[in-house]
Amino acid sequence: MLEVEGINVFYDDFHVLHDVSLTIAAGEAVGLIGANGHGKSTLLKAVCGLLPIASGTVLFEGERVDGLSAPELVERGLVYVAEERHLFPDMSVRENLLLGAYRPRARRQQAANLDRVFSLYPRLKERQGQLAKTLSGGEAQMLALGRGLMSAARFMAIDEPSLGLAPNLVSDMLGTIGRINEAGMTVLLVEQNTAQLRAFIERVYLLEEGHVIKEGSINELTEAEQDAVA
Amino acid sequence: MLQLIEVFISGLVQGAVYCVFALGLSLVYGTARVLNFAHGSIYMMGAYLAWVLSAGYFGLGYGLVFLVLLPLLFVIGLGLERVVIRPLRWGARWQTTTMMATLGLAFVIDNVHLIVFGPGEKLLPRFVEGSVSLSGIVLSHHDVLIFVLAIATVVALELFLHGSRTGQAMRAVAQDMQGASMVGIEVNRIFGLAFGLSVVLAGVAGVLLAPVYLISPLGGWTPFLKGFVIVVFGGLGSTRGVLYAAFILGVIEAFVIFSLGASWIMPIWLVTLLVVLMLRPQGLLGVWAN
Repeated sequence: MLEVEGINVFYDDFHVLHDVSLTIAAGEAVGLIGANGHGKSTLLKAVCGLLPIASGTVLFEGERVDGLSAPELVERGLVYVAEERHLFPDMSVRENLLLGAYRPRARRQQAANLDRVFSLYPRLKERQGQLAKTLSGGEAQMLALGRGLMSAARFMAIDEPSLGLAPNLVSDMLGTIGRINEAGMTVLLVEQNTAQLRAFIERVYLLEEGHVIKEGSINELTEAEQDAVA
Repeated sequence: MLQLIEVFISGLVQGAVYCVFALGLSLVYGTARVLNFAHGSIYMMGAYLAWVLSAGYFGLGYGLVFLVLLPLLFVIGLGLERVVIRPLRWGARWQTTTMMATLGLAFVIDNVHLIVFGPGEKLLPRFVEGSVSLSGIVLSHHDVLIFVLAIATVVALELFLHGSRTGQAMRAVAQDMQGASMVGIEVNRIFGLAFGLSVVLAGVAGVLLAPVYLISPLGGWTPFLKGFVIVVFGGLGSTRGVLYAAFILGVIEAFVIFSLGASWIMPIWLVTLLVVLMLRPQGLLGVWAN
């Protein structure tokens, strides 16, 4: 579904990603791991049109999509869920969710997707009138994921959803992502917490200093590599 | 006592128009993060265009003037954003460069006014003549109409921002620009629309006040300074804050004129700004308190 072929990405003059390639099949859940500051978020943002790609290609469902803007990619169903969440703080939970369905394609599925989000996260349904800035960390993360689902995503690039959550919430959060994946969503997930990924992640890519240095199942990672990540 | 009530009411009328003007400034600052130094000059442009359409050349009635003026101002706003702001956006230090560009734009507009209309002042006739008396308080029809039009404009803007999809997107861009891109909002398009709307608001305010204050090439700078104080007082980017601040300052101004005289207006406005910055730098309802 997604084929990234030899992309290079820069932050100003700093060369962050070096000839990164990865492939994700439809319905797959793939993990992206590596220590902080080695380019995981940059890769997600570049694929989702939020950072310019200097060279290399990205194919989404067989079509070239590198160079398209984030809104054009959202229209195609390629959605980024940020680590910093980027919710609309002075809008209600419901308004945030409805803005997720801003694009015409998503708007047509708005009612069905809203039901789906509320059944996945009943907490959001209870709090739908509350302003986003008053949510707890866990609820804000649910809202970020829910808003991504509202965009009628078919591919979600999810950046460290467990960041800043209490340990008991982390497995719940990752569990719901597993359920989203089981329902057919293709997922590329950045996560530090490799132990929690085993439940549903089939393959991982290990990123170091902007290079993919390893690809395979989590079990193939050596302990040293897992430690480097955590 | 009656006189004080009349002063209070004239403050409310003035405040309502300031509100229209300042909301335009706040809208562009909030969504596009551009402090538009040309907002006062655009206010004058609205007044000059209304003069051209009515008393100056075409002799249209006010209804038709507004009908022509509103879309015209909107298109001018879209064009200005595209030509003056857009090329600089996302470049190095764009928040400073766009601000300087709007300052340049202000000088261009002022001098075009000077060349085309000359240094002399123009006057728009009052919208309606006559007055009503309510238990001793005299209200001119003109003031009542200005108040109603200003409030209607503010209400229309609020309905647009909260009730329409595009308005929601505008608020989304103001609250989190990257979040807005992530849900698929074309941020540049929203900037253009915000600029277009803000030019409409400035121009409408210019027309509403032109029958009282005369139209002159540099007449926009005083409203610009006042608008700036209102936006800072209300809290940068906060619509409701602007609403409160505009009325508070409008009423203060009316009492200053009544008790101290018109020459005290600007000193009092600027002292107010200083006091606000000292006591509550985030303004009444600042969204970006931190």
